[in-house]
Amino acid sequence: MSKFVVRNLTLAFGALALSASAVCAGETMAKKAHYTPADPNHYPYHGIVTDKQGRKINVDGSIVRETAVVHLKKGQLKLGKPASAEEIAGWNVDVRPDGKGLPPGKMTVEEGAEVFANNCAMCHGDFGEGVGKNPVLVGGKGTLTHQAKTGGDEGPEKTLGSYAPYIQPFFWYIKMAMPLPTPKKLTNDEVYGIIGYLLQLNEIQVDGKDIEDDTVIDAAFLKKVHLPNEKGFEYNDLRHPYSHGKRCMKDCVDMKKMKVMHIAIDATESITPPVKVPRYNCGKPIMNGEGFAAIEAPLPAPKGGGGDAAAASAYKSSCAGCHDSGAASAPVIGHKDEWAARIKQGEKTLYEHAIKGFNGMPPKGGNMSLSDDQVKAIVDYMVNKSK
Amino acid sequence: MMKEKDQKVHSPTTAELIQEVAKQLESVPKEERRDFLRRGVAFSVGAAAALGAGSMTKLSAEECKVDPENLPPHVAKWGKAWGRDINTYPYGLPSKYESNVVRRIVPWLTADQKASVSFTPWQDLEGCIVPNGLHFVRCHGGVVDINPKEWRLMIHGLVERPVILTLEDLKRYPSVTKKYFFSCPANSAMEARGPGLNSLQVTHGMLSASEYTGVELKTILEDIGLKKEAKWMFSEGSDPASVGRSVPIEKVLDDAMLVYAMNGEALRPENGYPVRLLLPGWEGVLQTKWLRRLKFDDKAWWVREETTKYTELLPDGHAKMFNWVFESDSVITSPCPERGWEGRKPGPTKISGIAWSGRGKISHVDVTLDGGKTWHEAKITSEVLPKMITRFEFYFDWDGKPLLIGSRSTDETGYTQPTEQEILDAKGTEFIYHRNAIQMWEVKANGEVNNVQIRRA
Repeated sequence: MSKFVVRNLTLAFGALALSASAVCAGETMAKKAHYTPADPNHYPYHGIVTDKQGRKINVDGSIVRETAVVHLKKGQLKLGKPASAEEIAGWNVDVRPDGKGLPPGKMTVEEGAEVFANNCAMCHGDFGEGVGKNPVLVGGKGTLTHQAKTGGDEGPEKTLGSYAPYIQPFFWYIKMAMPLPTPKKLTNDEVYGIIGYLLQLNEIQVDGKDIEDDTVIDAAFLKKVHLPNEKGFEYNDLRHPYSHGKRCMKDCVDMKKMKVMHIAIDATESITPPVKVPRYNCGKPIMNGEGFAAIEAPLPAPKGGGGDAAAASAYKSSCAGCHDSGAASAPVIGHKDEWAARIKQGEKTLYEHAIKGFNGMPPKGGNMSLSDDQVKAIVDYMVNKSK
Repeated sequence: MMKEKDQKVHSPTTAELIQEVAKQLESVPKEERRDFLRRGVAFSVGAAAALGAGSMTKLSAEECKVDPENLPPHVAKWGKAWGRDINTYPYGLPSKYESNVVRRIVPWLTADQKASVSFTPWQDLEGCIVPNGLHFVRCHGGVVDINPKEWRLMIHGLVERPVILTLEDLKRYPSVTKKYFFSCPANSAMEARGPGLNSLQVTHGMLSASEYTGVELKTILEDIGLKKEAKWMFSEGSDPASVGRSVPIEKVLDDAMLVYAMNGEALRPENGYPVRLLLPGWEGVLQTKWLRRLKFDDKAWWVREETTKYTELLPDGHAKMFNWVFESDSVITSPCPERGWEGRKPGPTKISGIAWSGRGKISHVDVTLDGGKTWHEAKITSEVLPKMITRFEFYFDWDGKPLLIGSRSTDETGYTQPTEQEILDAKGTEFIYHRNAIQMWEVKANGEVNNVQIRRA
């Protein structure tokens, strides 16, 4: 499958959608927005209601079934140990839209940009533009009504600036889940700094003022931030589905007014292992190499780096994000020009840079679970591919 | 003797095994060879299993041949000699002939294989339960292995007695065992802009179903005491991505569970070992794997996975949030693009498939052969349980001409699954999640089956 086809077929996984096919003209024209914006302080659908048939209907529209409740006297079992204040403090890190939960800490936007460059840019790009299939964090204003009607049209670009309603809960998200390969290592100060930089990139104003390089970001500041799409959401009233069909049995559609739409660009062959194989394995194996053998007799833990195949696989999961694309100024694997001078420095230097980090290169590519020997094996693999 | 033993173990590898033993024998001093052979026989059982298993990816021509000597009136050869030892595979494996029945991925879909997804092969499954090894896997930060002795669950916030539970504590509570389907809200999402890949496994493989065992949350809350002001629960994973979501208290007190077992055994690491949250009928992403914390509060959290992700963006630019429940849905699993009717003769023919609804029981499934103009009620062929996969079949005389087949389910709340066009009109092409449009397959005269959509011309 050509790169062109892959590009056409691929959106960020968040979008999980193919832009491969044409949609009939005029069928999804943008309608005028008419809705009640969701308010984090008020959820209007709480409670269980009774329908006309006397059934109890839950918030999600489902039928509540009385299950045999095991009645315990309150505190009867008293299982578990009381959670101490100290234990709770260590784990109680969630943050609500009203800022409840934001911890102490602060950082300037300028410092935040530096933290972003060292920890986030490898996937999100220096300016939040996104590298490869990783999320774009900046821009996208005015694209939310875009509907991909043809293979060429882009859909909406959903970013912090264009789509996210509240920035405050992102403190918890970035602190706990980012950077993807080595999460939970950023300090509270650093998270404030990163958020400040992202707000600045998205040209968010606070109290009518631009966010400057020397603006200090802390809990009090974040509580004042409003994102442009704050009113862009509506609670789904699940008791009243907004898309549903009719149980029609005869003459349900006029087939003359319909057309059969086929797959426009067929990427079925990219499914791994191949999908179009017979169910019964008879000489047309689909197992990915180890297959059952791996389940049956686990291979001994690799000594040292674990050989070429292991290095290639480790490269793919821990290094390819930058070294396939050149993100964060990384030398692209296989580009001899970019590598020649580096290879001249000798393997000792390359190993050291790879293990300890160098310029935009985080230690061990950001994957601290790699052993030094594994990193060295990956360096060897990359050097061999780039000679 | 070697040969006989070997046959009991695994048929295809006799030659390889003998070679292996001979090779090792060469390096053994003469006086020790007798001992080695004795040990070697025991060794050969393990080795043969390993070699045989490895060779499963390359079944020999001999193994694949349909030998008339094994068909009536002859007596099949596998009945004429001892089989392999009963516990050759202490965990157990499917038949080597079924080794193509596996989860699959679409490599270009995601930036890496940690925050990614694998799909369940419905084209090769029967019944309503999905085997644990074939349950689809969607992770946000890769699969982790947790020592159950290090697992802790903190329950705090608006409760009377904030506690930390161990797995042992959890298992001391009264438990329940129930069957539910389980799905990612992005199931079928790749079809929103037009037919995507020609594969049932990819169109509907972010769907599985299991029998779950665990403790209902309302039981635990009776023990620790829930405060009146508590309207929402925040669940948080302990994994690298620490996925978290807000759950309204009504669901918590209805059928929410903390589960530690599926289909009789402990959860698999891919499914959240040792404990995950289970919210029957709801989006998989709320049902936190590798659970570490439940916090009760008066307002929801509006975290990333319920605002910038897992919300339905509509054509007018506003988005629906807190979508949670799966509306009635269904799909024909036989035939499908992977398992068509190639080589089949016209005549009495069976169509079969699955239906499910997050709101309750399936009440009807209808099948069309003409693209949705005419519908016929199908026969329900399994138990009908709320929020669980329900099986259906439809029987007809195929005249060998091309067909446009599809299934449509209705649940006990009276909700009927919409057509592609109805979904397009209501939601556009960019809503991504909870797409439950009627799936159409085109059956060609030669039996080939393709993924198609029927839209307004």
